[in-house]
Amino acid sequence: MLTEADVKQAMTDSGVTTDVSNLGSEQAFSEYGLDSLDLFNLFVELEGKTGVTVPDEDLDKLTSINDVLVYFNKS
Amino acid sequence: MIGIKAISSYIPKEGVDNFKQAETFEESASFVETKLGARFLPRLEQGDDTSDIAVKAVDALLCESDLAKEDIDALIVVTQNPDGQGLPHCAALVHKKLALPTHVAAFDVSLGCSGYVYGLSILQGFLAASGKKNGVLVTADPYSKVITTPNRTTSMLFGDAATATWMGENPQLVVSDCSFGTDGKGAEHLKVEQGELYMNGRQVFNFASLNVAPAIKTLLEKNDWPEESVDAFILHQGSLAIVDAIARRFKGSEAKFIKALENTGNTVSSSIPLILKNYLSNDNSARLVLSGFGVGFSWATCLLKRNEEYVN
Repeated sequence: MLTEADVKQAMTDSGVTTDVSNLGSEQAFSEYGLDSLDLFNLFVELEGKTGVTVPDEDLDKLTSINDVLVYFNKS
Repeated sequence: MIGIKAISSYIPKEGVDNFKQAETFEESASFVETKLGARFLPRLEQGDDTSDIAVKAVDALLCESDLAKEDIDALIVVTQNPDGQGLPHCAALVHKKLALPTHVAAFDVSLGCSGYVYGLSILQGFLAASGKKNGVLVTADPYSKVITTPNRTTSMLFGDAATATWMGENPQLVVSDCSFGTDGKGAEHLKVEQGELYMNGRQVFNFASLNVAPAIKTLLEKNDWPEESVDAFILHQGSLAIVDAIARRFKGSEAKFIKALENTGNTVSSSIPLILKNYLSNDNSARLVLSGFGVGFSWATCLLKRNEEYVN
């Protein structure tokens, strides 16, 4: 079961330099300053940790921590 | 013993201000600086084609080293964007423009960002097998020829450049060992369609970030080279983000991963030799790791060690 803390830790582990401690679970990644390459790194990290693969066509649907949690935890 | 004796390069002076270009794609200056890594992207001069920049790189090599035209036995051009349709092969055009002697073996190698490491191994093997002494490995793959319309995935990444590496006896650096890999399932993610470059940035990024580090680590272990014994890791400069992503998998050695694409961008097979040339003559690094990766997907890694018997 992936948690919000797991996602934030994955961000740090994957080299996101923005301080994500105040990133809200509903807040859009883009609004918080995370760019496409931050998200590439994040999903490589999460896919490695969970074994879940995110197809390219699903990527645009994952715009916040909540989206990520719902997606990974139902897979 | 055959190895690397000298490297020269040609980088066009004219090009694209990547900050201004990024504005047109609504990308920030921070994105350019911290993720792409390229402030400036050199572009082919008006009227120049692939063979022309290859010739300029070889001319620089002839000018900056002791190599003479009549001493060249083999010429390899690594490119996937040759003049015209690639027939005749680019190496023949370079041979003609340089007025090289007819005894020269000249051929192209069709590889992208893994091409330099492949090329070192191919040329070394060719020279050894044929009993020849001097070969020139050229990299010249100007992607601006296939990025003709603005594209947010490719326009901000690639720069044009060419390099020429002299391989022969009494080298400064010797290829100690190498490894290669291919995953043809990745072919669809980086290709030219109807004359325009298409890249699935995420798939290319995932491939590189997951495959390159294990390939390097396996080769290091096979040769009993601890990570800490390596002086520098010279990776293909795909983008700053991809070099960082790979370096993070080498805890404690991240600072040894060279980042040098600020004034060139991703120059495909030229990115590694553009850096490596700084490790000749005035450098004492004993152990270097090279790794190129990209279109195919294709990857190649080699270990270079300094020839302690090298006589200047």
